[in-house]
Amino acid sequence: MIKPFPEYYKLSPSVKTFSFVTIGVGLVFFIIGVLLNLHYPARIWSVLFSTNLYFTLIGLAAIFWVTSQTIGYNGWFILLKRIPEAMGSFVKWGALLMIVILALGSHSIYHWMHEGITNPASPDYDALIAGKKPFLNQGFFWIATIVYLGLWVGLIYLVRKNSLESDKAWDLANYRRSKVISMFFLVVFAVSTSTAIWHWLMSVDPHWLSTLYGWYCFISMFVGSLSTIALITIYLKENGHLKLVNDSHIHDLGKWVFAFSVAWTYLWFSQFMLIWYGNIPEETLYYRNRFESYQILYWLTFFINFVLPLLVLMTAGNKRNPNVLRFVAILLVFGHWLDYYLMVTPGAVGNAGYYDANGQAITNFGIGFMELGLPTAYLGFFVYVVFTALSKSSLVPINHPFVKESITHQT
Amino acid sequence: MAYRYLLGLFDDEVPLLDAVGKLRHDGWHIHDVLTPFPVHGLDPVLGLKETRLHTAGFVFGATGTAFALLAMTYISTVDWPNVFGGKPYFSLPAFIPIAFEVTVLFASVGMVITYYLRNRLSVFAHPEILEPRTSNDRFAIVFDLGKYNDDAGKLEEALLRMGAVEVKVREMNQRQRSHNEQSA
Repeated sequence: MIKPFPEYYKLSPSVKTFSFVTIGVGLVFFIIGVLLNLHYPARIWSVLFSTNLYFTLIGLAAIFWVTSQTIGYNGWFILLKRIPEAMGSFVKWGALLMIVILALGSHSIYHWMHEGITNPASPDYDALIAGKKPFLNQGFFWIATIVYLGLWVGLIYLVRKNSLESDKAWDLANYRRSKVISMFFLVVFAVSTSTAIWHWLMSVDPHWLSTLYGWYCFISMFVGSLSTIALITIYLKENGHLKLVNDSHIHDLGKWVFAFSVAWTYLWFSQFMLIWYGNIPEETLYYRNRFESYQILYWLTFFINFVLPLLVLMTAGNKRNPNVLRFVAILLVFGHWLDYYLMVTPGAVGNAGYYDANGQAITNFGIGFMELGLPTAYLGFFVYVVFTALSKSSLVPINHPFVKESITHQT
Repeated sequence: MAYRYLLGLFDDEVPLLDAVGKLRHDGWHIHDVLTPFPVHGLDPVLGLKETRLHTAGFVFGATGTAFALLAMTYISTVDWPNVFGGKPYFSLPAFIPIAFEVTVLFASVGMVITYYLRNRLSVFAHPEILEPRTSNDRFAIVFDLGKYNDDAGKLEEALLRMGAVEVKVREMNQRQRSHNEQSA
């Protein structure tokens, strides 16, 4: 039997260079994009918002993975546990930026926040939005935003702190505490992701509603998160860390990515089919925007997020092969960013009422400097935060009661 | 009384795994290994070929998808066109759930039938059992004595040295299929 031993990761110069170069290049691209689009604030703020939301939710869903596996007595993932925990440390930065972005840009993203929309005397009066006033009002929106972000950051801090404390000594009380914290986190996560998605994303198209939208967004962030975990695991393994991780761990990560890609499509299609079948104007508007103005990008998400993992990751050999899994995971991280981008931008830009020189309404600005640069900069920022967090503790939680089960893991 | 087999019985999986590895390393050809439950790590040690059952499953599933889509297209556009909810005759989104279900049906039923045929199992089959206790608490390494008739003594000695609790010879009326004949 191999005994668990602590492994320490030192922030390598290549990771630092990668982060700084991507942040620098991405920001330059983004600033060029902003300068070119100063007349179209909806475009700028919706890209900022969807990208920031995506990377924050990736960190959040990583903690969801840790806590749900803790509750489920999962043993095999213990060697990888520190990676999602480190990803969770991005949430505090994302939350901070989220508040800044919403404080400055919410007026450009959310049509329902405009003056007079709910006032019957105003020419802009919108009866449908006025009917949703008990939910869609600024007071509730801001209180809920602060509460969600505060709860997430606080609980993630507790999860990570408790996990790092276990490195000091073998202590079963620590393991029991991790169960209690996980339960609290899961209850909060289950409710708050759905309601936060209603507040932040569904209200971008204020007339539209879909009851499974919250789960759809959850699966999307979860696939992004699992792909990132797989990518970091493969990176660390190939650079001589995580010596105890074997190809069965990689195989199981591949299974998670594969399974939840299919689950994503299940909800993607379920949402579409009911709206297509019901054919109610308020509901079909959402798809009309996307199929008419964003046709190529919308189908691209379908091919990257469903067809690619389905066909490539179907065989066991491909799931075990780090090169194949890395290829699919990189595309999936991009594909689910695109998914979030397409949840926000068509609605925000479509409702903003922009017209070009010929008086034609502008519904799609396409992918430009801004859309390429901002995710790149965020990627660098995310990598820097996560790898800094990884370097602060042992990569292996040596005192976890299930760590030996993880070492002997075999599928 | 045509077929004779030598069985080395173990009472634990750890010595069994060691023994299988050592015996193959020494050049013995293992006819089969019988265990009461799936033993982790046995397949690579035994040199078991990977099963092709999942490939069959994929083919059955793809057949199901194609069959369902073609059948529904034929029924709802040619054979008996009906308007449902103002939708066109050929409404792909409405076909997807049924295509999915038929895919699952074809894949699962097809794989079960393939498995039964390949392993020659059915209600009417009465296979001879080499050692009943392998479904309870014993692990058996089986050798074909048709091949190793003169080496039975050496095999018995090697098995006992590697931790076998019992070695016995069984005479069967039916030929027992080897592990690779069953798995592939």
